[in-house]
Amino acid sequence: MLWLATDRDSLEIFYRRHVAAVAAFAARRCHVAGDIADVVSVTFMKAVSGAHTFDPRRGRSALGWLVGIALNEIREQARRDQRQSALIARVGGHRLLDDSDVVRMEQLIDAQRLSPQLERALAQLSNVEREAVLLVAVDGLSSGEAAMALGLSSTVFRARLSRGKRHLRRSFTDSSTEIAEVIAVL
Amino acid sequence: MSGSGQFEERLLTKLVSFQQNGNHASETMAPRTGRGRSRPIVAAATVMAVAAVLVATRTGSSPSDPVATPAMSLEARTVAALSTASHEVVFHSTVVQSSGSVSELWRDDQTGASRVVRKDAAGQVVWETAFRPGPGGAVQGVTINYQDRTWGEREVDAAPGMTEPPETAAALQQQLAENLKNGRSMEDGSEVVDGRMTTRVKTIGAKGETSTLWIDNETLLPVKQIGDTINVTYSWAPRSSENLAALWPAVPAGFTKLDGPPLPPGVKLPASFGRS
Repeated sequence: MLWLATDRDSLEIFYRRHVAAVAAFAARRCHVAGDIADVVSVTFMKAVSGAHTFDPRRGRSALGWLVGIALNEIREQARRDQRQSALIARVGGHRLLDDSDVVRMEQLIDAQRLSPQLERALAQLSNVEREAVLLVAVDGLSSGEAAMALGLSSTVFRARLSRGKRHLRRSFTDSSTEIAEVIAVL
Repeated sequence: MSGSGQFEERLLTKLVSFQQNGNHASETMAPRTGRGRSRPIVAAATVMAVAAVLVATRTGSSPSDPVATPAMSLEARTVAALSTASHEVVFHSTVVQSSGSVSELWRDDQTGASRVVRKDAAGQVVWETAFRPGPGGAVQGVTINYQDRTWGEREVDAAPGMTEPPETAAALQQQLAENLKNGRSMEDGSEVVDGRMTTRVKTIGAKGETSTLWIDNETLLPVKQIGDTINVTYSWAPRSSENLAALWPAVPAGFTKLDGPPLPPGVKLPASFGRS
């Protein structure tokens, strides 16, 4: 996908196609608008700089690739605490926000919030199971895309997803509609 | 982020500047997702097989023709395939419109013979027309209206149908190469379709319409296309006598022959037509 690193129009098409999905993905995992802006910015910057590493012939989808980058950045964000990475200092996604953007992103965070019932059920899962379930049932990725985002083989990913589904069933009651919907798409 | 806001536009400006300044060259900024990032041996072997097939099927090539190599992008391989496309195939596509109506198209690249069959949403054939080369450079045409149970023949010097459908192998590959070059089309992963490994290509048209095309990794010919309003499946069959026979329809018994070709269903000439 070298055109992403070299061709302006291709970059714009690619960016406009995926920016909303990457932002929604970040909004489900970040709590403040500035963090979402940083994750989205760094994700696309890394996509441009790492375009040579993307090979669609390996069954990779662009969205799965981007989500993988975003997921790593969110983990980095949590690890880094207050220290800013060199890339964030350079890109400064949060500095691109104006007041209306902040309001819009906070609304996005609210819209992406899961029901307390589903949150409680997901909290029963291990971290790896929860991430697998969220990527497929909430973020809407295919199994292949989600496996790619997590850097796993499809076999390992399906095993995690299957375990997560099994554990989610334990939390299911007749009134837990959202859990039933999640189980249904797994 | 519902809708596009100022942040997204500012970020895009920054990304373009980042790209144009050559910042992509830094290996240290490459994403660490996935496992090994080097070109896989299997993928390289597949592309080498593609190159081998292209060389094996080329007809009338000259030493200066481009040849696909493993390192080539899809665009470059498609351009290379343009000069190596075999004419030993019969093209067939099925186009399903959003209304449910269906058009089936056949074309023989070698002679230019073509056939179009239109079906209604219920799958009933309502109309068809076909052209083939006739004696002395003329073109023979036949048209059948299944609703009126009429048919007619015509012979023309240059039949418009001889250039339709436009989806010849070369035309499709030319269009794909252009779209990839100008960024309208982008590779979007791989997928097995009917047992064949394909590359998915997303395209955004001039008016914002979107479509996805699946390209056979071996032949670099389209396998199927799904767009906002149409759904197309393509097949490329050997130029056997059986497949060539599909290019010319048999007029059903009991249909009335007209002096000229019947009009398609629903098409009526204006009342003034033919008056002096």
